Amino acid sequence: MAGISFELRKVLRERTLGSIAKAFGYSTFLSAGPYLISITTLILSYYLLSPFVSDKRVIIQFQVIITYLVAFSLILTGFSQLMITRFIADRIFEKKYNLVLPNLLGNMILNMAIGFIISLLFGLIFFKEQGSLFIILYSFNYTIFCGLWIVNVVLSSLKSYKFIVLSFALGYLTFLVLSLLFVKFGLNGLLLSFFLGQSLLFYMLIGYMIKNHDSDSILRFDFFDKDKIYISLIFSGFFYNIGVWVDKFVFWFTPFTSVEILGPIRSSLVYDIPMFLAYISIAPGMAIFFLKLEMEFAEYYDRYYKAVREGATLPKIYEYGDEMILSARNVVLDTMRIQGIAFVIFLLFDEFLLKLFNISLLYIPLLHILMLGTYLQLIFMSILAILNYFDRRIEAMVSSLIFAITNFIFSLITIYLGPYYYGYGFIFSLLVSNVVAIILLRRFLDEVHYRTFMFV
Amino acid sequence: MSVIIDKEKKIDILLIAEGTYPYIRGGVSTWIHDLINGLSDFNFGVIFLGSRPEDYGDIKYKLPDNLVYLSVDYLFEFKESVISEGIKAKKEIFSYIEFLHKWFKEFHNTELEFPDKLKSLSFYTEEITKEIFLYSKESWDFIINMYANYAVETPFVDYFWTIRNIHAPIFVVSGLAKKIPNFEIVHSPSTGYAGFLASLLSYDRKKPFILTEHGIYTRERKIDLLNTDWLVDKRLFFQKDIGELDHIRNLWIRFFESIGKFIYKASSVIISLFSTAREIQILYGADPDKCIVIPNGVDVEGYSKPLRQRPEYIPKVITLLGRVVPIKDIKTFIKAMRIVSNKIPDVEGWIVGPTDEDPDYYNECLNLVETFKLKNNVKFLGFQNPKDIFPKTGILTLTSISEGMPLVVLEGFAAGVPCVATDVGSCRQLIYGGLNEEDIKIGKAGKVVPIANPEKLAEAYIKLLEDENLWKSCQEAAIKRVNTFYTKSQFLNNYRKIYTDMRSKWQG
Repeated sequence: MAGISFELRKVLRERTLGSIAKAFGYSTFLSAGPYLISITTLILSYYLLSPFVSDKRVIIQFQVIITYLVAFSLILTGFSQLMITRFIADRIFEKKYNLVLPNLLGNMILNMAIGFIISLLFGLIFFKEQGSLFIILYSFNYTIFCGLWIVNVVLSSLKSYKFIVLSFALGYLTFLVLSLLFVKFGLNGLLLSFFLGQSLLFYMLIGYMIKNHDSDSILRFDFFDKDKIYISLIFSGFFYNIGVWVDKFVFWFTPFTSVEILGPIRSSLVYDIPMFLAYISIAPGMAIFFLKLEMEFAEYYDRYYKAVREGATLPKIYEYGDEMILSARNVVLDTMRIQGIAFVIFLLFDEFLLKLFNISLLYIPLLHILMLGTYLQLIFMSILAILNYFDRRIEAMVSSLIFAITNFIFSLITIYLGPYYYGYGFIFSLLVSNVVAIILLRRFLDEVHYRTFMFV
Repeated sequence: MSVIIDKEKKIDILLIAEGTYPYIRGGVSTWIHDLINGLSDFNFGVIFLGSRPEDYGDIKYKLPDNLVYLSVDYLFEFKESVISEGIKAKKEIFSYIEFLHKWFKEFHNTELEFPDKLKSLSFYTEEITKEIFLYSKESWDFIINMYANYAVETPFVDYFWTIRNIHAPIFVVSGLAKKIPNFEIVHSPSTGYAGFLASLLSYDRKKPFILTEHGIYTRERKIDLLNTDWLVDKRLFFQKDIGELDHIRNLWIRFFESIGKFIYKASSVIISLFSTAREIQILYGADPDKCIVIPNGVDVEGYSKPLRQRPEYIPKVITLLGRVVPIKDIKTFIKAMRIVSNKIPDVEGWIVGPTDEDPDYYNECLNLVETFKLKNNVKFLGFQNPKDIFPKTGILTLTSISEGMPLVVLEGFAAGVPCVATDVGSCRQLIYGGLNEEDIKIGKAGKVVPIANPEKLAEAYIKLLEDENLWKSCQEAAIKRVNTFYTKSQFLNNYRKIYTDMRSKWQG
């Protein structure tokens, strides 16, 4: 991270509006880059490929399948994401660098193997009519996704943002180019080109990881060691990913809000398209959150714990602690402020944007609601990030669990209440989860000195 | 608590060994080993209290048959497994603790009787528990209050961990007390945590408690915090008053002084090895009526052979038996040898003992020998069997700046070697006699000189080497003294008597 925050600080030192814009842009590019690239590519592919297909349903099918693959690969790897990141951070702290790579690969292979088996079985049961080629491409894509999320989360924690964004850009560009070539082979052609693009991205990240980490073994499974594994992190990651997707599932599998796409795969046009756009709308907030957390907060955090370790007097420790708490609050508040402004701008230009993408204006009301939802999800993410910074594993897990449960229940309730209420389930669930997470975080920060010292 | 040996026999004497027998070799450990071996008519149990498991290797002694029980515990093992959240402590507990702190601050007058609560085991295991001390919010508030009142310029992390490391073993030992099997007499060879455990056991089981102090724990014990660089005084020059110890050191010293008094109060008999040590104990608050002196003994018969091997003449060899470390002040010995060799060119000075403990100091000594051109006179022989060295030795010497009761002096006496030593520990008593009138009558077995004074040392060496009559009378006194007062059988009989007396007194 030193590299990134140093560069950002250098840019900001120029103290001009332009420099702020530059830092902000850079930060957006680094923090929201990967997901912006993947979402926009998927949306763009529709406009790009439309002229070349007789039946547009093929593209829709393709987009929905990829969405499913993303959802289920995130949920499956959710068990590992936080756990393996923490494991690797701990090993780096112990200076046992040679354990980093083999354990990452071990965890990744494990996820990929489970992913492959699950998706293959799923394919054999539900996609018999699609033929074996489809089943293979489908499970290969799923397997690559499972590996990709693990490498991605670890590389992010190692602050290799630039390379990640570059790999995403190259991988998705490759997919776009290949899709133009293979689109004549229908759905399988698109899946193949996506698989090739994803493979390029995946192998770039893995290659980068291997290049930068020495090790004397290839695969290790030390992360199963009961002294080094945090069960709370396993569930924390899993619950969070369930929480993020469960409202979508509710809309996909409710008959009157969804349509059949392919076999058991359904999608909800009414909910999915505004949801996609709503996720794009939080990019500015993501960037600010990233800037604030990695630059300001990290610095105050380090300063406080350094003072604790290196024998500062108690008044000094209090002073630094207060500043750290203030900075944590600012991370959340500034994210709220900036995303609030972005939210208003999107409100003003919503019609223009929808027309640009040739999307029906009927989506506008739901888009507004879901934008508020993703706004709250961004806040939730920032509070979780701070909780994880302080290693409050149980609090993070409880908040994520509440998010998962309430999002499921509230979304179900809105289905019964009718179309006017769609999206409110998502919002209210996040409101509840945010309140819980903030209370838990505040409870900890109130006692931060006590906990820092007494619970070593 | 892990029990290593349990022969399921009645334990007569329970010894509490803090960081010594049977895992660490050394003076106290050997003393315990000899005591158990020598008193085979008693069954012994040993409770070993270590700092942390990683600090110890295997058992270093062949365990005697009459050692019927051995268990091992660690004082500084913070198990991270169970961290209890939400521990609540009763308010009145901490107001009581506050009262105790005030009480301890003011109790320098030794007549005060300790509050009864301190003597009851349940106070430590039920009222203020280890969990409350380690994890409760109230405990934290108490610590930061104390910090704000007394130590506001001290690095807080050091203060905090000092408080923790000082107090935590109290909870460890009080938790232990419940699990210890029955015994007749508890005997601790030191104050500190071992003595504290013995005191609690004695109060709790209503059994006699014998305390033997080899050194004065309160005085000698180096601060044993797990992190040595903590004791760097971080205050600025202007924050220090001249001669003022930093708060953490003070804290530590006060704590062990208080605990020392508590242990003196609890013990039925307080034993020291020599009379100076007894006086210091009384100074530190021990009741003079309880204080007796039982010197260590040597196996005189074992030295009859080296005694017979002695040549007719006095060998011009002065031997310093000891480790090459600063406390033994080898440099003063070398300087004295320079003066002696001016007068007696063929004199030799042997330094017999391991040289690897403090390599820097050893090198400085070598350089000193070089500088003084003493290469032909002063020799470092490393570790040797004293029985081979004694017959070739004219004078045994100790130039230490601190000693307790150096057995080597007595071993030398048994082998017929007079001694010149600095006036530290029991050296004066051993060389000039001091146990009683009879002892003084035996006469001088050598000479006592002030510390760090090469001229006086050299003067004594020269006098003894050149005056054969003087040397002979010293040898005679030495042999007589060790045979009269310092034999191993006397040492064992003394303890046997104390044990038997205690038993009959407490049962009757």
